[in-house]
Amino acid sequence: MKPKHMDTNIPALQLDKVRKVYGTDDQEVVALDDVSLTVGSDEMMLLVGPSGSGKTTLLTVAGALLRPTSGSVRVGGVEITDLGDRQLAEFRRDQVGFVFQSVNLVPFLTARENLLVVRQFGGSRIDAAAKQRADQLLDELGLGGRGASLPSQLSGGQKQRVAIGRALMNDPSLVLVDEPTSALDSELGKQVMDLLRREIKGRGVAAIIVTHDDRVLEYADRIVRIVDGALETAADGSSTD
Amino acid sequence: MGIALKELIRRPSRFVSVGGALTMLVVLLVVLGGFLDGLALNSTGPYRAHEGRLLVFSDGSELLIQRSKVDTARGDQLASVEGVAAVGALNQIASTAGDTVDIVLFGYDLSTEVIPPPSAEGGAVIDRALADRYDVTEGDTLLLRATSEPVTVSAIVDDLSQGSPTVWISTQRWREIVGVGNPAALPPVGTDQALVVEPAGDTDLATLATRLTAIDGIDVATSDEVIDALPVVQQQSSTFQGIIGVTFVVTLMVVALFFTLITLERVDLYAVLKALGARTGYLVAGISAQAIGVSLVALVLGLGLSMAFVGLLPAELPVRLVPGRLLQTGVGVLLSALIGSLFTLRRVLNIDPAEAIG
Ligand SMILES: Nc1ncnc2c1ncn2[C@@H]1O[C@H](COP(=O)(O)OP(=O)(O)OP(=O)(O)O)[C@@H](O)[C@H]1O
Ligand SMILES: [Mg+2]
Repeated sequence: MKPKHMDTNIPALQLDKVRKVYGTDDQEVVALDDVSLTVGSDEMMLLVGPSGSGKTTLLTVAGALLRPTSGSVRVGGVEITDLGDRQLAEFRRDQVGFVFQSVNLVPFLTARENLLVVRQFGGSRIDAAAKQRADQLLDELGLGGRGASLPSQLSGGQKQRVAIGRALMNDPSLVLVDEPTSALDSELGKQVMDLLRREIKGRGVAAIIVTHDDRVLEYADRIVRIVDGALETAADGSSTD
Repeated sequence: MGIALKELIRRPSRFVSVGGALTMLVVLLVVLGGFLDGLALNSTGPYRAHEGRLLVFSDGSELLIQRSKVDTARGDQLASVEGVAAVGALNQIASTAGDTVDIVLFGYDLSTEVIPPPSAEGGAVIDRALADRYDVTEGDTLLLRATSEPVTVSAIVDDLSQGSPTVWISTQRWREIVGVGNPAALPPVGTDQALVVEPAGDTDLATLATRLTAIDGIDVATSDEVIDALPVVQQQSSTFQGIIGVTFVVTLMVVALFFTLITLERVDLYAVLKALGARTGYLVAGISAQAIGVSLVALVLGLGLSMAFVGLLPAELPVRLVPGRLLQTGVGVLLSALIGSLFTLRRVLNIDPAEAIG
């Protein structure tokens, strides 16, 4: 189908001296300040930091939603800063899975259709294999019986899980998750993180998960802290236990 | 596009406003088109009844029969041209106001596919509009004009109106009646207003027309050319076509406005879909599909409503729903909707997928 991250030696994501500056000369905000970061091909990395420190910006740059002001972004060994808008859209469709902070499901599509919709963007038909994959993902996410429900008929946690399923639908090599638990109570938050970890590890996908939530730090392979757009010393997830 | 059509089906209430507006515009377009065709058809019946014939007028008459005067002798000259089967006279006079019924009285020699030959006994072929409006049947006697000349109805023919209903009698009888009723209007002996040329067998009309045009002092035209030259038709059709054109523009603007507004509402959704890999083209194609879907529904509803509405109009009003015009309206509305929906392109293009996150 598509080139996958077959070679585990190639990191899922490499940022090299990435700078992102918002605004014009007189009102410049340096959101990312020479960030260099490598995420391994099945690594689950947590990104923490104060509000306004550049976490979301880092995700958008890593996920090809935003071009960096300077520096290099490689996903699966491919330099994406040179790609045009069309190619970026294709790249996001095939290689990146996003879970947004606000859940953002398509309100008039059922849970199952919300998964299937990302297949249509490439103009490809929704075939039996796609349907099977959607059903399997919904099963794994504990939503086996809710495939025909509209988002308005689902709880917050269930919607969050559908969004995770959507991010995994196209078999991405990199999953980017922005504050998945901030809207959930601690029990649901744990559930969602459990699920993310299981899916990410089970599929050998790399993930960056942004969080404010100290309760979920234990799920990480690695924790990276960002302050004022610059990365600080990395801590090992296991050490926080 | 799949998403867009699902939205259309699952959330029809969002599209009720634009669908309603489009339905009303379709009704307007159908009824305007109906009047345009009705007026044109109702003022050209006699000429359309001469389809497949050539009409001959005097030079400089601009193909208007009331301005034309052709020597009857021309007829013999025309008849001798190769490909001409027969030549006959055509004269007309319109009745003016009064408490009588307004008609146009035609004197003619040659039958056509539509009009039977003039009756030797002085009978009249009449327009069905006259028959319907005044309950006239075959065998009834009409009293014509000032002197109340009696003529017996020998046949009733559909679709012969020229503004007013028409009555057709032989040239000889026409000259008698006009000579008594309105001698000033009678063409001098040896002249007729126009001549009708019937082509022989498989003679090509255009070829024959070229051949006849070589003769000095006359203008030769097909029935369509005569119709196009009628000032009534020209004025009416340009007026109505102007209104119809504006209505199409309004249709386009209604669609453009509605979908531009709905695009504003959907900025977040589109940003998410773009972040997930949807291209601008995919999203705009979805908008176009919705615009066309709504237009199709509006066309069906609008056509139904128009037919009901036209059915309620009094029979004297010249409205006619012609299939060709309805097709043209349908295609025009769909095209306007398509173009209108493309006005969202710039907005959708400017939606930044980065807005989806955070
Ligand atoms: N579109 C933008 N235009 C201008 N400045 C921006 C824009 N987006 C973010 N910034 C600025 O860039 C800096 C980093 O923002 P970012 O959203 O990445 O922070 P964050 O770490 O995600 O914060 P939070 O935890 O509150 O979500 C902030 O100072 C912010 O004000
Ligand atoms: Mg943020």
